[in-house]
Amino acid sequence: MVRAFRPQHRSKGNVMTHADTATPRPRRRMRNRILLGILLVAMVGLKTNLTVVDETERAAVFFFGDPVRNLDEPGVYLTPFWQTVTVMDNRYRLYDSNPSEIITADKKTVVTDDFTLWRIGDPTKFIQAVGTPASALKRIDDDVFSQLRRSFGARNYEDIVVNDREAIIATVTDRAGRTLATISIDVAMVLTNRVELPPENKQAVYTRMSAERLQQAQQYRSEGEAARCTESSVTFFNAIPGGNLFRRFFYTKPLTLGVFLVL
Amino acid sequence: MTFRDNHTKPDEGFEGIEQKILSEWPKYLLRAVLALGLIFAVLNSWYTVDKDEEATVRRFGAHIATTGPGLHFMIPFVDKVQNTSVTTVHRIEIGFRTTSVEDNTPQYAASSEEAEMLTADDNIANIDFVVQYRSSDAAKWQFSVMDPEKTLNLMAQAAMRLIIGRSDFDRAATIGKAEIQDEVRDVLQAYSDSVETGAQIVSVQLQDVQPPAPVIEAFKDVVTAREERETLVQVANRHANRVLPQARGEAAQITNSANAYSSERVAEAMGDVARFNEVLVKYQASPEVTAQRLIFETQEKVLRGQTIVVDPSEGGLLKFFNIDGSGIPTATQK
Repeated sequence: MVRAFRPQHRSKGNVMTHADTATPRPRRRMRNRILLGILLVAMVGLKTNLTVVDETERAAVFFFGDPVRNLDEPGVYLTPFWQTVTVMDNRYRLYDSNPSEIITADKKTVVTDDFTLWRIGDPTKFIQAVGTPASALKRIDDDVFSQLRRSFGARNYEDIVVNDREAIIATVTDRAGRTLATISIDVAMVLTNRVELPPENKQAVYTRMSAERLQQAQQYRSEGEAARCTESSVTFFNAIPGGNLFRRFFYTKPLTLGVFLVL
Repeated sequence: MTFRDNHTKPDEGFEGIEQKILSEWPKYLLRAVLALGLIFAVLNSWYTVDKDEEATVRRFGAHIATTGPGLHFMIPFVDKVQNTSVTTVHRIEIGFRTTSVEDNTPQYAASSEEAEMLTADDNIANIDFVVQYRSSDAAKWQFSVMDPEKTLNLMAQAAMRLIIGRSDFDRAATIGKAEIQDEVRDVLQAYSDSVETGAQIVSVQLQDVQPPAPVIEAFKDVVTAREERETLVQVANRHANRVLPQARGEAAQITNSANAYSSERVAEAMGDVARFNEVLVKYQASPEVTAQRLIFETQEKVLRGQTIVVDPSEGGLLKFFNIDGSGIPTATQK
């Protein structure tokens, strides 16, 4: 482009010799304009006939709806303007579902919240079977949740929470992955980021935890009371005749002793 | 202006310049555009990578190089460069958020939905923790996962719930913390590697393992009760410490006097034995005399100071009344 305009530039320096340059000027201007036009057309042509596929992307090429090929590697591809190219982000995407209640085999209810990491497998098949990433979410939700419900429903609460969660989740990933692979959704992992009890059950757990702790507290208090009673009963009953008999009786019954002392 | 122009360039007036601009404006415009383009290209032909960063270079979309800190050249418009901080340690807060820092003291807000976790012994624990990570592989970080931060956050929750679900509440709250942290870090790293986020998990730190809010009072009460027990035991011990030495002293005193009494009795008995042996010798020499003497000596000892009534006749009790004026018989002798 720069070279194309150099003659123009030179001609400006020779303004004095107007007569010399007067004859070639229109022809040069013509040539320049043609060159410029070709360049512009070439640029627009390149733009419409080339596809750049990024490291994070994959693309599918169609000819009036007829699949031509996939562009599976990053780089520049020659795609004539009559072909339609759909470029899609091929990175792992997050599908974070809403929490939902599932009933386990032993008829307990757990609230689970799961998420799925997935990406587009074969772009052509994906476009044909699913369409857009947004519509893929619905399919993922259907399949993953039904597998999750099936796997959790077949196992006991203890297995889900304590013993075997990894294996259960692996099964869900495997099964949902196999189904979704047929529509070119590539599932990397399904994980439950939360497994909880429903609010009503939580309240019961709180109450039980409280009761457990209060019982522990009561034990400590009684032990302390016992230590104090042993001491006070010794002093108190040693002072009165026949006190040993009373002491043996009251030793194990601090409360009775308390009442006795108050009286 | 026209005046001066007329003098210097007689054949080109103001109208001439105007005409020239009008006829050749595409040329000037093109030159301006070209100059701007050139400046833009030159400005875009280098990039800098900061001291904590790595940059990926994509030429026509394909990843061709990852460069370290410094000044680097690139082909303008063709190369795409993206920097990622690879040495900075990022934090993910789970179960709480640092809302602000006032006077160098961070303020926190709880997020109980994230924090509540089921433990193996069917309890619920409120667990706050922090994940520290580095996006150590810039290329994976940029090209593999769409939202790596959010992904790591959810994975961290899943990993922590998995491990907490296997351990008892008391272990999580006390001695098991270090182990749990290590296990969660390993699990999280494995999760992260399986989708190549390029993150390196530096550490998982349990900040706070608490019982849920409605149960906290009961937990505190246990501590109070334990302290109360200790207090009572101490009080009892204090009393014991006061009474026991005194009792021990008394015991020693009693033992001493008992010992003294015992030796006294033994000495006395030994004396008696000696005396008896003496008498025995005499008795063996002349048994009748000695026996008679012993009877007399004993009668003397026994009957001394007694009122003795000797009554040879058979009579009733009646005649013994008022002999010594007391009305009560002090001794009877037949």
